[in-house]
Amino acid sequence: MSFSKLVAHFRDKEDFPIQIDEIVSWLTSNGFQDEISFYPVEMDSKTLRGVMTQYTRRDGVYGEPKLITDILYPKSANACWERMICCKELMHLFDTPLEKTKTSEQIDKLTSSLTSPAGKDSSPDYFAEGIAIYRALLLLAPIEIIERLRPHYDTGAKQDYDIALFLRIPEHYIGFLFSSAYMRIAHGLLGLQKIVDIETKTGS
Amino acid sequence: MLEQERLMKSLSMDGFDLSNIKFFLGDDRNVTQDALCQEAANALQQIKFGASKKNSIDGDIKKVSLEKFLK
Repeated sequence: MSFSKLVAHFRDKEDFPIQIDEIVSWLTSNGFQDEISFYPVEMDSKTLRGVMTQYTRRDGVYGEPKLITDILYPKSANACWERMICCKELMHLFDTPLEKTKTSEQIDKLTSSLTSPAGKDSSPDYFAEGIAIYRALLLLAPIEIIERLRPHYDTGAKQDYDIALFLRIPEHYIGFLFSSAYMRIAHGLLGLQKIVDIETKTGS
Repeated sequence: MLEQERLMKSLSMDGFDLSNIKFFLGDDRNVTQDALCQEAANALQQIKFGASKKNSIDGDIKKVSLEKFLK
């Protein structure tokens, strides 16, 4: 089961916003996780907007291991940011084994890479974070809908704020959604996913 | 380094086996590794101390059709 299948599930929706609860329901019913929990906590959003932990929990010695995801975000986040943070963190359920961070050494490398002035923009970890954001946008703002909104955006009939309110994503991202870069990234990500799907199927 | 150790401690719980952790950075492009680890450790500690879960992220948000939005 792949990210492109999740995108396809929401592609034909006519009513917005896409709900985070619907995405969670798809992920749990398709076996990605057994439980997904969201925790609004005290957090300085200038430093950190969200944390996602994924782990297995065994209830009792003979209990079946359960796959759990916890997502933490600032209590102070507004509804649009809350949805964006939670969706972006959910997209890490599609991380490949190589992209996962679990040992002390890997966590040190990740936090160092994310905060290193030299490493920003070029490190694989920073790149993986970017991919998760693009995936979240592809879900909450499907490219088909962006194309249908484009004439109204280009003429100014619908502005950043209107579209942010309709899609319930931060206004910060709206300009980017209508850029050629977004279209290239969207086609690249979905195209890349197709290649990964084909390779998984054929075992190559 | 101390903050990194605090973060690791906040991640270790009996019966739990971590498979992935990720961070969504804020706007401060000059954030240090210590500050990031400290903020993450503080956040994770709040779960240990009983922070409540939110059952629905979408709450009262009502859906609107594209057609109605464009009218």
